[in-house]
Amino acid sequence: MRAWVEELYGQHVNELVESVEFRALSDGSASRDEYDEFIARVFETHQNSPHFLGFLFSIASPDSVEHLQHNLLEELGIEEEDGESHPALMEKLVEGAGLQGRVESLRARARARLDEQVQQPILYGSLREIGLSALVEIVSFEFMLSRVSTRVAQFLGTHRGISEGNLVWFTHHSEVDIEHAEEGLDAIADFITYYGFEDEEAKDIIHSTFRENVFIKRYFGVAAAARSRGMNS
Amino acid sequence: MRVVRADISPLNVPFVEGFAHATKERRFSDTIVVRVETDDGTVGWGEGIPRPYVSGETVAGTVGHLEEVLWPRVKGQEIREDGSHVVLQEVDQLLGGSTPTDEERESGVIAHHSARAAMEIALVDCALQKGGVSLASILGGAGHPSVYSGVLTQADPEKTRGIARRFARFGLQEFKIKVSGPETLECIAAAREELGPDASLRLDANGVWSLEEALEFLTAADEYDILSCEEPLGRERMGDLPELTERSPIPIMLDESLVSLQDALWAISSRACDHFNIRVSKCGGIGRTLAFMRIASSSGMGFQIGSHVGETSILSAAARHVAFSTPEVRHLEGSYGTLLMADDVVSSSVRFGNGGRAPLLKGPGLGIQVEPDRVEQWSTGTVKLS
Repeated sequence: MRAWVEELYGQHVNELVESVEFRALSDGSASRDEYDEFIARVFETHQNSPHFLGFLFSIASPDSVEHLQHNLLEELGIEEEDGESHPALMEKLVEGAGLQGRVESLRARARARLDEQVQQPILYGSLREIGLSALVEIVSFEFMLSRVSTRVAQFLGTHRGISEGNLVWFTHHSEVDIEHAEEGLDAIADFITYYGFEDEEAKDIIHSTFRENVFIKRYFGVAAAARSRGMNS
Repeated sequence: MRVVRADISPLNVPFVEGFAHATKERRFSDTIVVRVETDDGTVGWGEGIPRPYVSGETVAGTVGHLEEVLWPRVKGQEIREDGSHVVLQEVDQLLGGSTPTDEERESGVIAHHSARAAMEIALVDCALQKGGVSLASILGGAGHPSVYSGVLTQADPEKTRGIARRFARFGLQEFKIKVSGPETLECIAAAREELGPDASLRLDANGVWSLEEALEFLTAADEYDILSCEEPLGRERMGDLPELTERSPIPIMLDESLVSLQDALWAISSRACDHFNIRVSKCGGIGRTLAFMRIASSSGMGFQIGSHVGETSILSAAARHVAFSTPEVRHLEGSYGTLLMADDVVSSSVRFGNGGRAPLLKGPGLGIQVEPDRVEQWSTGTVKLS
């Protein structure tokens, strides 16, 4: 299962970096507004990460508790004495782009999305299935960031002129997420074993979670995700 | 309060995955959302889904009918604001008939029902919003929740098996399978094997068979314990329906051949089917849908409340209010929300949850919060009328 999930993640990451939108940001052909919209969406996407990690921590399998606790404390910036929370690092990114005036509205958008997710009727019958679905989605972002965040930091620095100090969130992820992603894949395998999923059941839930490219959807919007799968025509 | 403005927005909302049946594969929704506003600022939302192979309506033709025929009937008219149940009759009278002109009929239009449904739902929502009354409450309390069915897109047997299994993981127990040629019998077999003997299965052929083909297919499919087969022959072969209904081992349900009340009366008097598939947009709105239900009920005809592929939560909400108003609804479809579409136009999804269960919508009007920005995002060109 671990290898199957890793392969699936790899496919989705490839789809992201091959998307028209990502390539435009990479080669500098995107407009300033497109860089800004990307930054805004990254901010919005990751604002709720501590909430989701808290949820995952509460249902983690015993073998993964330590890893998730570490992630959660790091996300909150309280694992080390001089640590900064990830949402605070995201604010640095937004400030570096001169978009601090949008912070409140972006926070409100992130909150609204969280509210929407919480209030949506639940399709699965128990937290076991919901937990697996949430876990694979969150680990997928760690996996993706471990592979593309250096590239993102480079293009935001080169083409959007954001200073290195404001790109810490990305450089941090490029360094630590290779390890996080590996541990995350282990956590998925542990979760599947601990809660007694059969392979087919786990694959079905993961398949349902990744019917769309969640990276393109979160970073470039629903329309971009649809375009990447030819769903717009 | 008087109706002073209307916005007509044709939407193309992309699907998460393609959805296919015997005559069409869809990758995005083609629907029309109507927003009406009164002189005191009260707003109501409605939706209709024009389908050439159902009512003969196209998106362009429906926008035209809304703009040129229905809006002049509605503009400046007074609608009641006390939340009384008579609003349905009053709006029905205001909108009048939906019969096409001779020229339209020649081009294939059977009835302007999706246009009528979009405007009717918007006006009723608006009136009930003002009155602070939910649509459910004027339909008698809507205390009869049904569970939603899963609809399996037409695919090869292995894909069908996977889709069925994933739907079953959501706790669904009722399913409809899109079928066409003899090879799709294997899809039924795969779904039955995957879902087990307790799941209920229905078929939908979307009108592709001749009488002989239908009899052959349904005789072969009978071993899979099928509850009914929807639209086996299509409107152009309606004359064969009484014979098929008499000879088929599987009960027959009408859908595309059931657009007007005349269709319903003919089907009953001719014994042309066993069940009706009643859909709010296809039937011309909430009031007309209730009329179909009354006709079915009084004649002992079974019926389900169906949906239109690609409907947003606006139409899904209207259908839910109607469906929950009576215990006679055999099956309920729709409210797929973002299970099918990549986005919706409301802030709180009306998608069903585990087991196909869904709550009654208790807020005023349709009980949903439409987000105008989302409507605008997916609009291919809003027509603003005042």
